[in-house]
Amino acid sequence: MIKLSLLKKELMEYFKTPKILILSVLFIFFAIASPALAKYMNEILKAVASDLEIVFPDPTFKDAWLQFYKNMNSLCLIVYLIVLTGVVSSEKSKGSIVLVLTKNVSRLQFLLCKFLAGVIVYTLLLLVSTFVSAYYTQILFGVYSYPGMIESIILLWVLGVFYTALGIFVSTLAKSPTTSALLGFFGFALLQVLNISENISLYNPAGASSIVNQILVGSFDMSLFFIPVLIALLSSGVMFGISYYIFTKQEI
Amino acid sequence: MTEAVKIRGLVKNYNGLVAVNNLDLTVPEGSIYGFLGPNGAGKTTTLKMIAGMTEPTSGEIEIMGKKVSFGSNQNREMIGYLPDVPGFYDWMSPVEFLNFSGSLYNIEKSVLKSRIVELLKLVNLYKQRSKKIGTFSRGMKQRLGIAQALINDPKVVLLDEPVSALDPIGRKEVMDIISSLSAKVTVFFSSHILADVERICDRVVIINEGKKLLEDSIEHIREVPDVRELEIELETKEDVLKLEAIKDLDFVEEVVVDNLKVLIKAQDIDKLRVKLNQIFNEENILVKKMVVKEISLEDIFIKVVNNHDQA
Repeated sequence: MIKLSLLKKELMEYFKTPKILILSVLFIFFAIASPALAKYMNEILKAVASDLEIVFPDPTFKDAWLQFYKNMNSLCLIVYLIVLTGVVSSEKSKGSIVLVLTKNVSRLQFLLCKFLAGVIVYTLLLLVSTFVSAYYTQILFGVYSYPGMIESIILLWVLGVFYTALGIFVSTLAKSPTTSALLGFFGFALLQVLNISENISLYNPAGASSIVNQILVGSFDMSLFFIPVLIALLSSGVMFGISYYIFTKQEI
Repeated sequence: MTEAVKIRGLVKNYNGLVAVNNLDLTVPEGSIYGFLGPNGAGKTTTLKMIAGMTEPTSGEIEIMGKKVSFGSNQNREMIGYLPDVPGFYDWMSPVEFLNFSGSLYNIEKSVLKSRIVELLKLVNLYKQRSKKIGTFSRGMKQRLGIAQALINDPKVVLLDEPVSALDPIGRKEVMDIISSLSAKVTVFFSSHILADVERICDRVVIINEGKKLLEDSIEHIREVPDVRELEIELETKEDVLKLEAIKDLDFVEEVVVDNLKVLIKAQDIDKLRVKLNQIFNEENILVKKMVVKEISLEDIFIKVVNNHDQA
């Protein structure tokens, strides 16, 4: 089912174009900056507002992870999603899709390879940035691990898988990269709004961004961990299925 | 004669706009087949339906006897396709792109390697094989497009307007490549540049508004009697006057006199020539020059399309 040469080309495209440079710089920058910002935020604020008497609690390593998750969810994932929204629509607009689909490639293989390449790239970015962030947290705070950390990373991973499926979906739907990027941004914003309520976030496919914070402060019932994971993975599967259905009906 | 492409009753309707209207077509195996028509005639839509990229509203398409289904990759081994504006991955080199294209088929690595070299030489891109495609001119991309369409050694190559956007040199280069494919592979290509089609095609079909107006070999089309003309140049004005009487003959359609030149259009050009020889002898007319005017495909195209528009 998977065309290895097509998957290889998809992965190569990330590395031969500025995509991987943009994503890796962003992910690694925030992996380093998050613990540093948490550690020195009090000093920064005191320096900025020197005339005010503000008392801040001493930062802990959990503040470093809080910063990391916040940056991952608000900046890294949106940029990753925007990159993903162009994977099909840009091929449609420049015409390269025709040269591939008129060869011995099924439409399922075409979409699947794009999806898998996205997941592989995201997995690498997440692993590297988590490792870098953990390393700097250890250096700055002397500790980095907390109960539920692995589960939090798994949640971030399934969140990335879901955004990959969302990116493929809007990219299949739209004819131009601009339209697909706008659709992707709108989808991201809508899912973030749903995260305002903790009750909804458990069942929101993008709810992981809120749950990782709950795990960090110890307010999340870990026996419910499988719910957001399953919901995100199932939603990804359904979204990919709909994308494939739409794609099979499209005239190229 | 084996049929490489067979189309029966093909219709494509875009929300009431009929792009292809009940088209029947047979492309013989091994031929270079020209698909002619003005812009918007339905050429690209037809080629996309043959390639399985566009879904026909009705009708059937067969490639080498196998039915084409929209969206399916069943017949992909048999076809090569070049769209009117081919889009490449600019970050790849021609070798990388051809290697990628070939790897999508079940081609042995050593065979693919030698085929890439062969094709790059055929399309005259061997020297530029390692340059980024993003730096290529339109003509170079078009030549690379032909190479990628041939990578799987297809039975049928579908080329959509392969020369329409090229300068005269680029056009000649691409047409020479297509011409060199003669007898090796069936080439079905659309164009509105008639001189090119006339030069290299065995057969042509002319369509307009999605309908087939004419389909035949170039040889036969040129012999269509009602479009042949005879140009005669005489020595004196008196002789010209003697010849004007020929317009009364029932098979003569039109006689145009321009000083010492007489242009005669007739339904049966051979009958006219016999009759003229007789008149020349009887009237002692001195003929300076007599030429059966070569009818260009352009004349036929304009005549056929105009007749259709008037109808």
